[in-house]
Amino acid sequence: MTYTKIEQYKIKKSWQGLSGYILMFGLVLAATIGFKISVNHEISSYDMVLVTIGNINNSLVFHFVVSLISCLSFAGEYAYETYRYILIRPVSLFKLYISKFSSIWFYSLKLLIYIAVLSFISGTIFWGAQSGVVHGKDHIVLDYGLLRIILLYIGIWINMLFIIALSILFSVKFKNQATALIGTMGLLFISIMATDIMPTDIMKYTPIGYFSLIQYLNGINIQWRELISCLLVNTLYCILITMISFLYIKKQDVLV
Amino acid sequence: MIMSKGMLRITNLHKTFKGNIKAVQGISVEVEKGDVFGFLGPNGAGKSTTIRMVLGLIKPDEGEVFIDGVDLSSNKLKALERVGALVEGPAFYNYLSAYENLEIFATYSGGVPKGRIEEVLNMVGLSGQSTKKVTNYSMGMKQRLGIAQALLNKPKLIILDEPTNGLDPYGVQEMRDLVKSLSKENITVFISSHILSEIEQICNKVLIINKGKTVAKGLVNELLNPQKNIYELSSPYPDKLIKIITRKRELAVVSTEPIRLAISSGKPEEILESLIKEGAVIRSYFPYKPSLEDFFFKMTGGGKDDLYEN
Repeated sequence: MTYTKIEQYKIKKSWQGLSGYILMFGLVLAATIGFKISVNHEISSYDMVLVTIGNINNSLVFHFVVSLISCLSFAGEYAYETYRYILIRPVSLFKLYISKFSSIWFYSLKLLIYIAVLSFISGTIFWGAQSGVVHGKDHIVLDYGLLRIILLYIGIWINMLFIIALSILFSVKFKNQATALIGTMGLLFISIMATDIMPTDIMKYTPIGYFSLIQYLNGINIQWRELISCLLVNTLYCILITMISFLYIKKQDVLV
Repeated sequence: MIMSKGMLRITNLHKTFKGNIKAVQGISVEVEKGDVFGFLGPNGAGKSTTIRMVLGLIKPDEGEVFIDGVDLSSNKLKALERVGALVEGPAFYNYLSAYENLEIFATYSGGVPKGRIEEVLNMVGLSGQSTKKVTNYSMGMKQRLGIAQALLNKPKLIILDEPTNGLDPYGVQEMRDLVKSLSKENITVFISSHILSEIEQICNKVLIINKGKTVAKGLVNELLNPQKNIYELSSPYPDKLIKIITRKRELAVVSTEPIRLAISSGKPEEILESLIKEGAVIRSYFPYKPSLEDFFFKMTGGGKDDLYEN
């Protein structure tokens, strides 16, 4: 974690880092206004916290932003040609890798908190301060509403490990931000399309089946088993992909 | 593992790239503390590959690199602790200011105090422009900032790969002065350049490579006219002077325009005396020192066009 602070600083100062917040602001606002116009039953500001992140996550916009930042952090070093200047210093490649990874993950956490706060505020503005009621599918009132919100946000945050790992793999392979981003997002879109034809038995062992977590949280009961297995599968894939990326980057010459 | 007293020791370095391209074939050299060491070679000679291997950016197939006595392959982080480099041009985060860039590289270097950033910016004359984003910098300014980042960790050894590339004559002069000031501060400098007159002016030692192999190395003064037995003369009556020289057994005419003679025996001052006694009119008489450029072309067997391709 030695270089986490400096990696976070680089993200913070980049246009990519800022654009994540601007994009989310726009999306939260659009979602809130959209709901205000289209929904004719009462919803609470807590609902907005759940609904906006559900929509942002399902549309892969959050994945896109996290992937953009991952590509900046890894492929960006090749693009700016700064990678060689880092590695001619007494810098441990492993520590650098972990610092970069954790900085991106931390950025995604900050972005999630930002979305939650923004959604709550906009929900309060549009629907007024209300009790902490959270509505689920078919407008049922959900038990443990706040817990479900927290679980969804934490779940999405953990799922981002897989997205970060995948983006890094493309970044170290292509050494180009645009190609790495297109590669990552392209694979995600293809994966989502594959869910239509892939048998459920196979899908439950891949990260594909777990892009949307809200389905396990907006029913009468929280589907703990599915939620936990989703996070486990994604984390395992993250570890595997991270190991491949790290070995690849370690084996490769910095300049050829 | 302490193995060497030199600041940089390269032993039998080899690197072959895909397609059996033998970029470096058995280069060995020792750079001592305080040296300003010139590294020369035509395009594709293997200079950049060697520098990359010295900095641990690519792994050699064979051979060893020791920096200040520390083996690079077994203790890379320790070996690079006090090394600064400008390799393949300067590179920065364009969206950040010069100061912010240096802050980042200072963090990676470890243990660099904030005051050092101001210090190096002053050294390269950029302290007044440090808040400007690097994207707005000229090539010369970037190059100077590159030197500043190389100096951040108070290096004992600084490696400069073509530091004058892309600079105008003023920038070249500034860079030359900067390198001279570094050597005064007892920093060992290892510099590769295409501009041979510059290397001749600032370096005390030189290594010339061609096709991945060493073709010459040593003190610049010794490499150029090593026996110190060739003298250059000028006279208002050159034909007469040449006749006198050819009559003498201990002398041989090396060239007639300008007149150069090789002394096989006797002291140079006695030779001059004897020439005058025999009626030669001599305006000047001094040991001949070929330029490094002449020497370089002789050793690499290339033409100037090859050299200035970049």
